Amino acid sequence: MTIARTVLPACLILSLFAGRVVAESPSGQAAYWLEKMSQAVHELNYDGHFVYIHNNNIESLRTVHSFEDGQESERLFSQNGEARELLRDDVSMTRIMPRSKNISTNPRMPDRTSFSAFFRLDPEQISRHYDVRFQGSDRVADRMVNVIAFTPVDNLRYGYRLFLDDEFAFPLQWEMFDHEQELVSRIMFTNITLSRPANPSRSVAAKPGDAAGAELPVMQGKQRIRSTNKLDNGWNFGDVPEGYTVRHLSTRNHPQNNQEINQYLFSDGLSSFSVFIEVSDKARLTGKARLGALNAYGVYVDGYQLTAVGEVPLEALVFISNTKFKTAGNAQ
Amino acid sequence: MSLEQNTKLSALIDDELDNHEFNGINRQLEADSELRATLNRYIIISETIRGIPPEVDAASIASRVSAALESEPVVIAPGRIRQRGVPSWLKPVAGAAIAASVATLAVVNVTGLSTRSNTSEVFPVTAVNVQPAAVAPFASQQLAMPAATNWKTAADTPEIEEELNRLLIDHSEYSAQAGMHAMLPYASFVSYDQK
Repeated sequence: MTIARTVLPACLILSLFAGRVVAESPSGQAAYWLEKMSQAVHELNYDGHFVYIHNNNIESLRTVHSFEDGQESERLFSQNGEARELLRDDVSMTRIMPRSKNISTNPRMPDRTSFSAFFRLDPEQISRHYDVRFQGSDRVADRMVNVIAFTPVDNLRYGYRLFLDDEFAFPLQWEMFDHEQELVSRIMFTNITLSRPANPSRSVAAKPGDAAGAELPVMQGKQRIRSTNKLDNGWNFGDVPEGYTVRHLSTRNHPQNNQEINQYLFSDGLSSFSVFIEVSDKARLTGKARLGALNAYGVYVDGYQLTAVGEVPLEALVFISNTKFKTAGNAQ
Repeated sequence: MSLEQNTKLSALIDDELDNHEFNGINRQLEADSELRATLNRYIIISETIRGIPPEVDAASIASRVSAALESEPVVIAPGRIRQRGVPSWLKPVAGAAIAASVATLAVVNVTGLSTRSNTSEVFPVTAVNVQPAAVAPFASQQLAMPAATNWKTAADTPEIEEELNRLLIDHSEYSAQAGMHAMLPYASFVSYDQK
């Protein structure tokens, strides 16, 4: 084992991120790595193949991502079975299934990059709900990586093990496991090329001084999506799972019936789920639904369809059964 | 961008515009960068459906158009309908020649493209196969019910699955920016489609 590999974890912060003072706690260091990871995923150019393992299934995919002149675009397509593809850019997201000739297009959230600027990782909050440990270095896709594990302290969130590229902090391997250390899903690159954009122009990283209390832009017009930092739109969420708080609220119109939909984004700092609330003349999804590592749970309350969706255990979603619209009787 | 413009773009790719419509959309493409970006996306979608190997991004498509034009003879005949062969990778599903649209794409999408006449003027070419314009398959709103993605629910209906997929997409827009799921949050849309 070379000197670099043995001392790398200890010198990591000092040598690779010179000039930045990093908190000594593992969660503080981890928060810093996570921010670098998020920046890498959005602001690098990369082309790679990876395998996606879930529910005893293994699938092969390819991703091609570019970031130039402040514009991000990505193509994600399957390498086995039907040639499914997802195209993303700053304007829209298109999902293609050629064999069945199905295409669906959704407009992108216009405020999503602004949202990231207000979402700073809180080391103290992370350490309350996860046991954070650096697990040394390893090698993935023929590149050196540093391994960080986030082990959940309860069954309301999944744990993560990240294998971050030593040079770019890009996640070359990403594992999600439950409270009993059972693997839920794994993404692992088998090969990848990484490079910095020639003309980045824009960074999605949070800037010093950004505060969650600042007003988010209100976007209207043809996309009919509006966001606000008012995290209360008349609903009383009882028994919210420990550690989760509402981080964002957006309102949009249903693409088919034009009814207003409220989306509340909950997060504990690492894991997140959304609760969607919309007027409905009948119950749609009631009870649970599962898609690999993703869970959903729906209830029908007083003419409203409530659906919670996210990469969290089902136990974290069932609280919406106790959600009520605020009236003089149940307002808090 | 209007639905009519999107319809025209789709018809352009399928070579289903008459002369007047072609010139009209051509002028709009010259002036509207957003419209050009939409056209690039439609091309990618069209190629994907036809099983054409993917390129990295839209700009590379324009480069391929440029390279193809360099190797293809072009006859410029203002006001006349002409025919020419097109690269096999650019043939639309309908199978009709799309010479005019290829030239238009090259001129409006590629900066510094070397044209036949060494000018930056638009080729005054015309569409070849005049057919009634079809309804645009690539309108910006939801086009079709996506195939089931194997959500496991008590009520296994396409409507429920489509609803869940839509909510998952909306959720991923924010979870991709926040916390842990900056890493390929959309892989599930591509990978879960097998029953």
